[in-house]
Amino acid sequence: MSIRKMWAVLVKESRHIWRDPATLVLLLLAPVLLMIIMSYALVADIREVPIAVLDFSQSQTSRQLLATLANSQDVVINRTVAGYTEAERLFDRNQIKALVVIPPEFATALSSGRPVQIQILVDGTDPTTAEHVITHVVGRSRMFGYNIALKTLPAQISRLTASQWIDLRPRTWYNPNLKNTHGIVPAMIPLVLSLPALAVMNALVREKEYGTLEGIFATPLGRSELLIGKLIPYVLTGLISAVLCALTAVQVFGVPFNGSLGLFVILAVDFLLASFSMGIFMATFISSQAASSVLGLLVFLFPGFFLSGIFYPVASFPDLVKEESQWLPSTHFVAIVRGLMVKGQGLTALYQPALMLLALAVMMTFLSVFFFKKRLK
Amino acid sequence: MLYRIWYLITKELLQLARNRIFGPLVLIGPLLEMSLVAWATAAPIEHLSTAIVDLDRSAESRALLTALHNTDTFDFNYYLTTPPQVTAYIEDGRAVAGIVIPADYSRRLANPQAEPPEVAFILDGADPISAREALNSAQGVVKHLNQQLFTEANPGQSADTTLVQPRLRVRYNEEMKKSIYTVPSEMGLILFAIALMVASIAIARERELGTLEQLMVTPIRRLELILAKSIPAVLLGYLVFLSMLGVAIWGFSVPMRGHWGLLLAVSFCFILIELGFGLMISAYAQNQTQGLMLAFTWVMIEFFFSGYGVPVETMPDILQKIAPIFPIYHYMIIFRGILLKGVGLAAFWPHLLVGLAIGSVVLTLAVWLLGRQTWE
Repeated sequence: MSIRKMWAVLVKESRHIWRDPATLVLLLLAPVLLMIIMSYALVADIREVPIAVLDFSQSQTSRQLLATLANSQDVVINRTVAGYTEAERLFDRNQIKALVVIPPEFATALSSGRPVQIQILVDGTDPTTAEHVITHVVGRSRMFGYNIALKTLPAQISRLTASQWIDLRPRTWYNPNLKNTHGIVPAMIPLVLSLPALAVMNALVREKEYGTLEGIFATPLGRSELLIGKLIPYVLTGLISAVLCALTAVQVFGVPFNGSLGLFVILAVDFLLASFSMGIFMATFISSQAASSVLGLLVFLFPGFFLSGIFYPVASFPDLVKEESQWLPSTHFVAIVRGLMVKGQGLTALYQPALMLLALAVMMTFLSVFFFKKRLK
Repeated sequence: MLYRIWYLITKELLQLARNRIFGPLVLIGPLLEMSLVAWATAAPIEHLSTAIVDLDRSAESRALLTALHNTDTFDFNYYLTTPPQVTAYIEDGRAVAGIVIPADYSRRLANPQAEPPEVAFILDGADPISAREALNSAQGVVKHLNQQLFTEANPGQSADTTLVQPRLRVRYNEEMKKSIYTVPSEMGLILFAIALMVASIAIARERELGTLEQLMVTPIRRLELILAKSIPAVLLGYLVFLSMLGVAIWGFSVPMRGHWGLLLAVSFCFILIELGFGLMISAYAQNQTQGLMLAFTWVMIEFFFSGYGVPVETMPDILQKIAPIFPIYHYMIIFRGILLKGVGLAAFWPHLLVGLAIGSVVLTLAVWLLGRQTWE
């Protein structure tokens, strides 16, 4: 392998990127832009869920309960319905997520100290939102009853407090309020960097589709010089994007950067090499940009979303999928970015994913050089 | 006009058939991917690696640990001897949760009125979604144990003495299974992404190869060209849709409570609308790489308006206001509505109308962009 020949390919490929400003902008800025939009959408914690009430009691007590329920940003009572059919229609149209039904005897029962049931109908289609509504509505209405009991029936209260036997003391590290921001924003970096990986794959396929690869075959260039020369300019643009993305996470979303920047850069290169060489490997088997686009979706985008541990922890996958996710560079980089930025981990804690990425990079490069036959069809 | 379109469709189909990888990839790839993703995410979040320190080693402390273990949320991978070790295990990521039972646990539990025993529960907040799941699970276990202990100590008395007693009824998804929500989202997203991708390079390819100019000097009109380009893509997209729907309903038991004809018709409309977006990108892009990157970017943004990660209703106001621009936002509401709630046209016609309006605007833009770029 000669450095000079590789350099020639590198310069040619850089000119390709540089000459087409639209592609360059897409390559450098699209990841950052995506990062901002996606993080902005995802860091929102669930709040202001619309609910409706059906108040058969129409009393001062029932209005007090409703005021208690509305007294936060967790749920919003935006409809008062007159009957079940109206509520049914609102459920169907997705305009409310829950209905609270207060029975006619609500006020009289409470004033005489008898327990009373209220009915809560919840739309279970989205279990996460449903759980949020249940926690807040149930919690607040129990608290409401508790406060009334405190005034009228102090004898029962002592029994209630006695039910506190074991005291669970949760302590959450790195992210005390369990906000999505700290966990999810850094994990977006591997995802948006699948964009340059797609561009790399496409760059090789394009030469095949145009037939310009045949011209290159006629030169004394070796396979590894060609492939590595093609890879390096994209690693550089990818690295710029990676640093810009990390900067965005810290500056715009206030994610802490507890680890070392040098290590971040090194491991980002590690990740880019792994995912790009994977792109090159796939490119050796296909010859049209249409196919490379679909393959890019199937290999980079969807697994990046669903299987790399951003929304679902890898630990709860079935074994086969768990193994498959080990083959995805983004799975390892999600672990690295979270560990490095949020927890401030160093190489001693991160050597395992770092080595896996390196192994993937070496193996994929080797395989693509092996399968990339330098011959005319 | 019809025969001109027909010739172009034949040409497109021939090109499709000649590319031996593309067709099978588009037809089988999404199906496999959806099955894999649905399979991976169907299970609830569980088997989180947990470190345990039990300084008490009594029957009571074991009962607590067994109760926690029975939830399947925690895998007790590490039994440690001192609390600081838990710190180290969470720091380097070997464990995401730690439970420390103090030495006086059983002694204090015998007389909780004086001082209830404290159990430390340490969580790694770097992955907030898992951490929240672990916290809910542990709190549920402790609450249940507390009630049990109370009933044992005060036989005959109900632990639930609250005056206001909420009674829950969950509709449409009684067991609150997450997969019923996530599988349709994953399916819709994969379908939209594939339709967009296929369309986004259709015209860009002709432009890149220079064959667009040849097409432009034929009597074919711009609208005809766009229609001819979209028909093979619609066929492919619809086939993909039908096979994925089959897998979702029969493979992952997503309920189908609505009208089949309605579901199939509305889905067809929305595949067309999404294709319109792809063709617009395609008419704008100078080459296939640009088309690809733009489509990829668009898909990633659309992902967030499908409600997969967080529901759209809880996003910041600006994002809620722009959500209706994205066809997937409307489609997911309609798709889930028909599948899970069994609603009819009366419930979602505004969304369908907005979707169709977007579709016609986008198609007009595509025709306009095609002309502008060609005659420059």
